[in-house]
Amino acid sequence: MRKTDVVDVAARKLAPYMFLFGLYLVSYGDISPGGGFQGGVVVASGVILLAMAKGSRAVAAYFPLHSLSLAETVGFALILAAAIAGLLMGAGFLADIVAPTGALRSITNAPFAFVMNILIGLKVGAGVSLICLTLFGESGP
Amino acid sequence: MTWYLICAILAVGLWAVIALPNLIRKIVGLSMMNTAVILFFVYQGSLDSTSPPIVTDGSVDPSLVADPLPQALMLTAIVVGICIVAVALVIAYKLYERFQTLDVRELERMIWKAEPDEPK
Amino acid sequence: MNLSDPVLLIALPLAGSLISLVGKLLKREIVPCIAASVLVALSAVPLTVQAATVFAGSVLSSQLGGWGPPVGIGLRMDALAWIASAMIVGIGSVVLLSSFAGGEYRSRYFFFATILISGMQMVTLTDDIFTMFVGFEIIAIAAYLLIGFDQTDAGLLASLKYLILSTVGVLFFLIGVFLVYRDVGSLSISGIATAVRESGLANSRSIHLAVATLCVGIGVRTAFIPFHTWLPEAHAYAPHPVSALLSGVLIKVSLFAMLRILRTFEATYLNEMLLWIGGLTAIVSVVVALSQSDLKRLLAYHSISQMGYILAAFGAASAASYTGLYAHAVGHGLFKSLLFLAAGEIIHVTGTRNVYEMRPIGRSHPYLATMLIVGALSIAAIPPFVGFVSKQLATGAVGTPAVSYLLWATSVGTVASFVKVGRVALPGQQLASGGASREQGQAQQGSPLHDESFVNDNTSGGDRSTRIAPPSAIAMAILATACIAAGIYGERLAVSLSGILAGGGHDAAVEVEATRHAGADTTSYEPSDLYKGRKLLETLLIAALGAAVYALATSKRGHTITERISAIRPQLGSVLLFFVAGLSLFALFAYV
Repeated sequence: MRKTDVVDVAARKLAPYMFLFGLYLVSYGDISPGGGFQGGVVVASGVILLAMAKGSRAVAAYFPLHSLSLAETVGFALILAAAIAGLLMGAGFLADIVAPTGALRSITNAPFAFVMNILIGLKVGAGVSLICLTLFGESGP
Repeated sequence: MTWYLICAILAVGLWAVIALPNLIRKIVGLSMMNTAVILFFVYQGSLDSTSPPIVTDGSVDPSLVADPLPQALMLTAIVVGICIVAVALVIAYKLYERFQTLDVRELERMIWKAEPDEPK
Repeated sequence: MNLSDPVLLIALPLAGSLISLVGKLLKREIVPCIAASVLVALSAVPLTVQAATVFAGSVLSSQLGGWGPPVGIGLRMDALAWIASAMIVGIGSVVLLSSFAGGEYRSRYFFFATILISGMQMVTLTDDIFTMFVGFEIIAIAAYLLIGFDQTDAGLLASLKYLILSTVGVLFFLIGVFLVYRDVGSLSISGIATAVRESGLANSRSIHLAVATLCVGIGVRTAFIPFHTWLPEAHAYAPHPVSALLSGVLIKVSLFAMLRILRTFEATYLNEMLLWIGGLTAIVSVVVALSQSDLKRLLAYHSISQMGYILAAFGAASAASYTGLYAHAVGHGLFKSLLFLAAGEIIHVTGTRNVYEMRPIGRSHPYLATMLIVGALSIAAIPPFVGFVSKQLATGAVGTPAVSYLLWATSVGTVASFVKVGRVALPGQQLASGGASREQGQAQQGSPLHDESFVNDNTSGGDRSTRIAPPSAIAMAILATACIAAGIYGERLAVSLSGILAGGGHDAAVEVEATRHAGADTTSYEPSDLYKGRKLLETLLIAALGAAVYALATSKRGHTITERISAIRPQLGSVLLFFVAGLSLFALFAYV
């Protein structure tokens, strides 16, 4: 299929806002709708949008596949470490090891949930981008 | 009425999985069934109220907000569904690469004819 | 750290999967793989710590993140879950050990295998049915990727067919979860049990329908008729250690989950049907198994057949039959993993999957032949191997005469089928009928790999051209020792097992069942009878009949029949139609 300038321009203008919105969803996930998974997917869809418009090669220059893979592994490791930390401290698997501050409207209200959201966002964003770029790389746009 | 509509989506998905020989259409059928089941939960959760269950000032009346549990469950179900579809597409793609067809009857015929007698 | 926390059993394999994932980035991949396997084996530590508490009849529970029901994810370990969990850890570690043989499976393989083990622990230990769904899907994704791991054409196709069928099944499971959520308002198993007992919901139609859909969803994983159609392909074309893991452990884990759900809903009205399904599953699949020439597909059909025994024991619903169910589930786990591992090595050594074309390995590989014989005698229920004990316990508890005859006939078929397999272990140089057909097979197949291995075998004179790698040999030795030990100490183990099941007092349903069936249970349960004369005579008769059936099946007329049966391959269309038929059957039973 022939690409038109409309797609190219729209994708380039939209992608930064999608990244920003994704990061917002990740960081405000503990006090408003959203969260690590949703935000991560929005970030990844920004990557996919760029890949559709500019080709997966060009995007892979900004997001090299091996660093995406590394980011995903590190995300997984940190999530598991955070979960097991609770177990080692005697509070149980995935326990809320940092007490909520009680500031309900602030993202620092629940520090543990905030950190978890960021880690999940990292893992999901990197993972979904990696899957799609890999699939595109073989026979995609 | 909505219940019947969701059941119809489920039935169409099941029909696609059973009756259509094309692997991609089968996978789309699976996806439709998954969506229908998710709709069951989400619709049930929204029967009482549709306002979002967010605590802003310390207290909230549970009867005035949508039931958050189905939504939380379905988020997980959606993730699981995505993974399944991704795996299915990858396997279908691998098979297409080798045999240049997505018709499952063709694939079965070709693969069973060349019965693998050799472990590797 | 609190060692009696059941979550450790899930977290340790998960940590193992992480290590093997990190290992992908390292140069020496073997080290993280060993670390991952050690972590899985380390689960035995919390298991032993927990054993004392659990066998005393109390329940260990844990809430993830400290969130209680209904929002939190709870874990619950009782004696039944402990047995299943121990089985997963034991056989899982042994299979991981055997995966080191050959060195072809690296960090990616260990990642999926440990995820699979973690998912099985999750299904076993969870206290709510939605987490059970998630666990089933984790198992499934790992299983799809492991079945197609070698990227053979047949493996990929089998994996995709399994994926489609089991995803449809698990979506019906999710519909069941929805119905439960709508009508009961709770998803935790203990919550449902309380609600069902107190409100009499168990008799409402919509709960019956929910139970039916939940059973259908798990039924696909458990592989009894009519949901069995995916198993022969998937288990036959998976890599050999994966077959051992899937056949040995996975289908039993699903069955235990179903057991748990049926008990929670007190769905005794399904028992009669399950009893018959069990009998039919056993006999039909043993007939099909007898007709197979592909070694691994033969073993896979026998897995279905043995699940029939377990299901029949479940349907019989007495204290004795539950003992039989657990005994045979564990016993089958042991000898079927042993058989699959041995089959993998045999296929490697002889270079063919076809039982009729294999040259006897008794002289060239006496160790492997012994392992095969131990497995074959176990599954054929010959004393003093574990199969004898567990099968006696399972069949002895089935009170319905017609079904016990079906199971009896199945035993005959099993013996016949394993006479066929056992021939491979003979010390002879060539099989009487094998030589000619092997040459023909060569001419027809002619794939380069095949020829190469054939030449390789011949030049070295069938001697130790292909040695068995030590990890695999040790793994088989462990399983074989377990088979023999569990057979010899069978009586004592059976007594303690029934003690655990009856005396635990944790599961009210067991006692209700036991008292309800006390009158009907004429075949009263005496484990000490096991090695008495009558049973031994019966076994002798079965063995003789089995040999006769084998002779019949390999006669000319028998051969045409078996060829015709083995030519039937489950196509995806018919697989799904079978599924719909089973769904309708269960729905019908729910409404009547």
